[in-house]
Amino acid sequence: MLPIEWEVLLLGCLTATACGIVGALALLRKQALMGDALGHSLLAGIGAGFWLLGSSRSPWLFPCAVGSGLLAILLVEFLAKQLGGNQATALGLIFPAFFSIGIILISLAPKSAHIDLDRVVTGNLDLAPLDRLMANGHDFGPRVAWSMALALGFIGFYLAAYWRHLHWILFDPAGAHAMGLNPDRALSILLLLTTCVITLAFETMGTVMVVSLLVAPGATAWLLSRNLTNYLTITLAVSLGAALTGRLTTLAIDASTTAATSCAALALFGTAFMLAPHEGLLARWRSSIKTRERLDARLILVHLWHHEVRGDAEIECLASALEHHLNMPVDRLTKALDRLVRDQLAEKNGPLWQTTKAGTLLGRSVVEDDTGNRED
Amino acid sequence: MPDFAVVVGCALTGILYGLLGSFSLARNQALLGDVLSHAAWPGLVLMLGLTGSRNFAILGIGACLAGLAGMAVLDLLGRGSKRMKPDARLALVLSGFFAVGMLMARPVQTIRPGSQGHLQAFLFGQTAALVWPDVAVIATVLALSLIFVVSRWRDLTVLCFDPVWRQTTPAASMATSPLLDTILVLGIVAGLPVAGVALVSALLVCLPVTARVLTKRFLPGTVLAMLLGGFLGASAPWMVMALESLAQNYHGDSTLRLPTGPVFVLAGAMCAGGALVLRQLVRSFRLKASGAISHAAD
Repeated sequence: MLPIEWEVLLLGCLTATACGIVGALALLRKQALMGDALGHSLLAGIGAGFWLLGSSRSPWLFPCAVGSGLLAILLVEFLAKQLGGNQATALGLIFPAFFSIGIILISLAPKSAHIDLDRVVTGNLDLAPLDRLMANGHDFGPRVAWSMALALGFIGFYLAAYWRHLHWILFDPAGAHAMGLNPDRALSILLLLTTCVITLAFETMGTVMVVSLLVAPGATAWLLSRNLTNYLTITLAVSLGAALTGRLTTLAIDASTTAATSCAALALFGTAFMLAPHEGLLARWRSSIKTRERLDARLILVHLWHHEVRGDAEIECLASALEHHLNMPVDRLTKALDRLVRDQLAEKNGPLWQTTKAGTLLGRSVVEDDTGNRED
Repeated sequence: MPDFAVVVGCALTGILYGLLGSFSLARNQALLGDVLSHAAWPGLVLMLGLTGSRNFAILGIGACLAGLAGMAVLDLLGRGSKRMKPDARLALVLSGFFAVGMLMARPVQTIRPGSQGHLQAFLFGQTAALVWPDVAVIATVLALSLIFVVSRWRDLTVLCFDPVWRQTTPAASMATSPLLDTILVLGIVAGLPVAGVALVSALLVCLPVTARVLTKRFLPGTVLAMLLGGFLGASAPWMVMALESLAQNYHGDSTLRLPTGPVFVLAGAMCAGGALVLRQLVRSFRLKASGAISHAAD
């Protein structure tokens, strides 16, 4: 058998990948907050199940939790219609109510019941391997690891079965319907899978921190990819990376592995948010500067060309007067003029700036054609 | 009998949430409160670790700073890639800040032994520990919000109902929107000892939803939400006691502690549900009545 440190890591990896994939699919359906809502509302099922079954270890608690999660979602849909299509408000009303019922029922349970409210909400990955799967006197490892692996198998099977039509089902359910597919059934199965994964994960991740495992890998992949295969591959990689980093962190410092895994997933997202090649904050900032420089150069070119045509170039195109005429800071002006010289669109002729032949043509095309800021 | 300070504190919190919730609901920001309350959590944990103080006024400063930081991160995420959807941003900030707080929780508990129960009280709210200085904090925040709302009532209503038109008017003050956000953070933090991080924001939704179902007008709706909040808040400690004694009679374990937050929220959600059912009943009754009249006219 594996030592317990490795079991925690294995459990972390299984949980992170299962959550990452279902969360990424939900993200594509613009339902990022559904995971949060589900995680909170299944507590009502656990509380009610405990009072009905009289045990906190009964296997029937699982269907109770899944059932209350699905019931909450149905109620949200219904209430959103009642409130005039305001889904955020319906979410904000229903899932705290379910969560409250759960907490009240669990708090009122006798202390001998071994339901720990703190653990329900914050999760505990470090203690989860203590719950063993025993059969015929053999120890088969942590129970949650087996159920999570089973859930992962179901997810894999689902993806394999629907892979060919997954684009249609996720992005255009109406189109999928027109193709003769049954998108409602496919999406309902996905919802059921999501609920099951969240129910399994909440013991290890808690109701709040499971959300970052659901959303962060998908959001990272969204910034880095533009097709579904890459999207899911990157999601998988980020989930595994988060689980590994989280475990390594808690080997170094004494902290909750659950929180560390969750933070690691978010740190990976933060890195992608800053540094992603096209969508990252840095890349966008750089490209906005480039656009501005290009527009500056274009503005000066049109100014020069215009006054050459009007014949008052001696006044308007004086090198010393450009700054005043265009009301542009000197450093931006110098950069733009350098750019024009480099592109051989304009040149300095004594005290005047003049357009070259290519510059004249471009200046005219910019003014005469409304779509002036096309690429050169 | 619950302590008098507890009853007053809960009632004031309810009034505060009725007021702030009306604005956040009108601005369609029902989930922003949820994000902000979770964002306040690391500030609370860090402040407890740094100072070791149990004083809510001191811990609250950390929570407010963290809440404002959460607001800033939300804004930063909004400035980034346009491919990020708003709900993903909310979910990331919510879980991210909470996870950072939880990461610090165990080290903080090692430095400050015995702080675990104190932190737990902030997770779901534990009014039994509410004392007069805490009530004073809540009352101060309530007074601040009331002054702010009354002094800028016109601008605030325009901000809520027609922000686009508002931008075209020169009279609109630049400071109103960020001030309202700051007041929202202050209010959420002030309510933490009563309702807890996990459920504080639900009060921001259920109280004004009830009022909005019952009346379409904004000022009466806001007043109604505040009254309802005050009433539910004042009765929440009694409901907690009743439920506790009910459970104790049932299984005889007298050590259990029921947090206040869920009881308060559940009562509020039941009010909202009741109001919705009432409206539906009234509507169907009117429909029947008008049907009978038109039938008679034929």
